[in-house]
Amino acid sequence: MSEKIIEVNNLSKSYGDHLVLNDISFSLPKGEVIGLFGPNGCGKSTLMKILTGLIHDYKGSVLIEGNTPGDKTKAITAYLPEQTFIHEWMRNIDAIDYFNDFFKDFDKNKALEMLKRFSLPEKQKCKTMSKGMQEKLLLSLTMSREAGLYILDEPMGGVDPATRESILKFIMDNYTDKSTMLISTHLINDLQTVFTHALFLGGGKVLLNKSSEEITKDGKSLDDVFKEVFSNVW
Amino acid sequence: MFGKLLKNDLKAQWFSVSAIYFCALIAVVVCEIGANVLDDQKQVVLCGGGVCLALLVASVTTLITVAIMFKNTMFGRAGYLTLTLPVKTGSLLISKTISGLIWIFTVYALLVGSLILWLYQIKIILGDQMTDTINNLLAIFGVPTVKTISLGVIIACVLFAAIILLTVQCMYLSLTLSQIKPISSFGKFGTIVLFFVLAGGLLSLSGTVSNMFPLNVVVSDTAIRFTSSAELTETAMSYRLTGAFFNIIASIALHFPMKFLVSKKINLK
Repeated sequence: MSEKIIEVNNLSKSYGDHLVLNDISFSLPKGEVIGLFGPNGCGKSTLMKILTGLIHDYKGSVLIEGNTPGDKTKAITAYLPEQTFIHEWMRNIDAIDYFNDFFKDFDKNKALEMLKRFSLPEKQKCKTMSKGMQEKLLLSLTMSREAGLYILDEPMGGVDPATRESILKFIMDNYTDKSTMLISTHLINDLQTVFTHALFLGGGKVLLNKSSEEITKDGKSLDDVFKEVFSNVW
Repeated sequence: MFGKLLKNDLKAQWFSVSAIYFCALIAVVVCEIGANVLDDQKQVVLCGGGVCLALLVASVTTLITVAIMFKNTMFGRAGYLTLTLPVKTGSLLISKTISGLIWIFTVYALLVGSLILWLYQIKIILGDQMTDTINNLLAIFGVPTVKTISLGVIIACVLFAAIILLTVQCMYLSLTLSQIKPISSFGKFGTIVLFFVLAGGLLSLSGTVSNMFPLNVVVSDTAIRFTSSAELTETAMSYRLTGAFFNIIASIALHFPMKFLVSKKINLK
């Protein structure tokens, strides 16, 4: 049995009366590109925030490499949230220096190369950039880390299809099999070839947690299985 | 790692407070030029007052800016970066407290400096009349030596820093508490009320404790002594210490509920 990087047991999280994650348990294998799928509001972002230590008031246990989310797990986890998180005062180069200061696994030269590749000026203020440019910067920062676990929340949500393709290539170019990647997305069609494992969430439950190989062994695509699973749920 | 946190917090806050400092600097330069160009005594005094007013506005704005920076970097979008750094929550909070304290203290020091400058300008305008009055007053009350005054200023700065520290901690705790229910439902209004209640309550309590357990430090040319009663002598300066101790202890005490709330209760939206 392959080594596990994430182990979740009896996890529940609610917002007021609304139960988003309902007593879910699962584990995810190390060294895989894992797709986290589900309709809007099914708890994908909530799960990612719990894994990154941004949500605390949940029930159950969550372990990353055997540790509960905290300083240790933050050091090995590279997180790309849905929204821009760069401080307003920062220029691109300041953001790179900031990451370089705090993350031991950050490769500054790689980040500078990525800026050039995306044609992002080093001295441009982040807040003056378009959404697409900001996403490229955040992706450059995240992927310049040699993290054990990458958690990417809708990494291509706000970009046009052409850029989407280059971003996808960029992610995969910078991914090594020593790390694990958890990506949430609605763009299954665009990404289905890269996923080696899939986790489907819906109705507060885990609906499917299998390798892509197992899922597609009947000749069905990931997208077909997604439609099949969620047509029964919603 | 703490050094890096502090460096980045100072840098981030400088980005915001530099604009305030720049505006205050322009106001100071304009008023000072005015004071030197004008012949009318009243206008010269008014210009000096303008300098003080500009720095007073700057000090209040700095306080607000430090509060906004804390809220944005901890609970706003930037919190996604701040709170995923591999550092302890306690270190994050201490770094923000120290950096806030530094900027607020700096602007207040400038304000006091401008007040002294203003008084100096008034002294120049009033000339011999003012000098004679000051000399008469000093003859009555006595003059501490330069060494005593220097020591006294240092102690006064430390005591004042303790008040700012408590103010900053109250501000941060109010902002932290305003992230959780039911306080969050009152919005900004709730945060402001909470801040005034906390800061006002603790500073009043500090005064009460100071009266109940008086401990003073008396600085004179020959020695620094601790007494339970304020000594008024011609060459010594006396300061109340109990209040400052209370302020520092209260500030440290406020750190723990804040740390608990950030690391265990508050979720990033």
